[in-house]
Amino acid sequence: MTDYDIIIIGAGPAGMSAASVVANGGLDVLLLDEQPDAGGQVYRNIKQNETEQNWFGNDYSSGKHLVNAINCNKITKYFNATVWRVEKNKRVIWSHNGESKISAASHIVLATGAQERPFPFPGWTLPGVMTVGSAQILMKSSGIFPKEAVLVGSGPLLYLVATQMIDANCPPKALLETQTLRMMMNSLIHLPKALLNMKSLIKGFMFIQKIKSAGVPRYKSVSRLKAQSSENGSIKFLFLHKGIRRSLTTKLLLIHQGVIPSTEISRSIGVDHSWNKSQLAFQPIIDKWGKTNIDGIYIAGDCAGINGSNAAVLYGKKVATKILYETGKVSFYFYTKQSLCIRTRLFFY
Amino acid sequence: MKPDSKFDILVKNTKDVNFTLFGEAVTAPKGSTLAAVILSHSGDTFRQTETGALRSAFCMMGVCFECLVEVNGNQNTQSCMILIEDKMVVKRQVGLRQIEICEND
Repeated sequence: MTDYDIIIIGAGPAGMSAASVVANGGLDVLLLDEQPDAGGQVYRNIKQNETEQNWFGNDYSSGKHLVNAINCNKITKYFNATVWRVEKNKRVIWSHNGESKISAASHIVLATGAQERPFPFPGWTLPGVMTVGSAQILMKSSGIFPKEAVLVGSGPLLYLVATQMIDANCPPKALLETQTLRMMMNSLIHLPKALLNMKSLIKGFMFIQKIKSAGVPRYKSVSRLKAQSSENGSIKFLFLHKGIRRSLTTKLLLIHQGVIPSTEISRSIGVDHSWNKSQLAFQPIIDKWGKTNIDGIYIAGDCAGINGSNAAVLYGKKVATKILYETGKVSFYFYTKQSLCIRTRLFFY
Repeated sequence: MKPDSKFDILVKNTKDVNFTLFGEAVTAPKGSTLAAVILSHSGDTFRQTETGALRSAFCMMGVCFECLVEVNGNQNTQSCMILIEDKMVVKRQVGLRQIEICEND
């Protein structure tokens, strides 16, 4: 029994781009997502935020066309859908509004994206400690902004959210960075490749400039982190900085240590995974087309290794092109031309 | 006394939803997730674990299961994954979810 040609799990950048490409090629798509609307985490709530707010920048608005592209009668969409079992024979078992459903297809694309890396230290479970990503979700989906928050950790999102908070007139109380000078030196090996993506380097540089000119205090190479609950729901945050034990009291401590692939579904089906040494995370083993060791199961986007939303859009297109070719919807010529073009663009990520 | 919210509301939305939050009548913008409304309403915690520790929302994207509350009698509801609705009754969850055992002869 086959209800659809393809089931795509996740309506973020990769899932949305894969869905629109296969649907345009004439395949019937079931697109499932656990959130209330399309966009994934990066383009969360984009439909509602298209108007006046410009805190999130041009990169965020660029997700609009992806969301519009999935409004197509070949794509059946369900949001607030919980996928709780995917089988090797390409059956997907999921719930929606308290009702269980079983759907089958000849191809399944997992585009489950990424989640923030757990960043445990004493006190990280206290109320008043949240992730930097969670603060950004609240900003995007509810228009509520952290009050005098302290940001701690490492990774691009830390700086991006700090600048968005500055733009929204709720600057962070302090920014604490966990990376050491040695880590920075070790990462220099990646500089030649990073130069190919000059745009991202400039963006990062602009973030730092904005944080500096806003006068947000920065503490670098902090360690020995500890959070304690203080009076009236505040957090007392203790850390070691340049050999001195310091403390800051804040209402909200926002923590971040990069993102890792969301591999719950791929691991549960029995897809082979490997340890990515440079990203320090497990990721599914896929070939250059996004194919896994299980026939008919494909993976696209950050759930196959962290490359960011722009790359995820391209990975989604690549998988979709492969599936269109395999189902005889496009010619070998089209397929080779298209994939070559996508792979050339992916070289820069 | 209830602690102040740790967030500022910058975007005011006029479409209001009325519901009961932790025993209090609350009005909040339509389309908000329950967790976001709890966070902007006050600095109150969401739940108490079996060992007595207080917890609040952490990831806001359905991954961590820290934001569990009781909604209309359904325990273990992830408040970050549902939108608020009129006449919803939200209670703080204390301890583990209780399982009702039906005794049929």
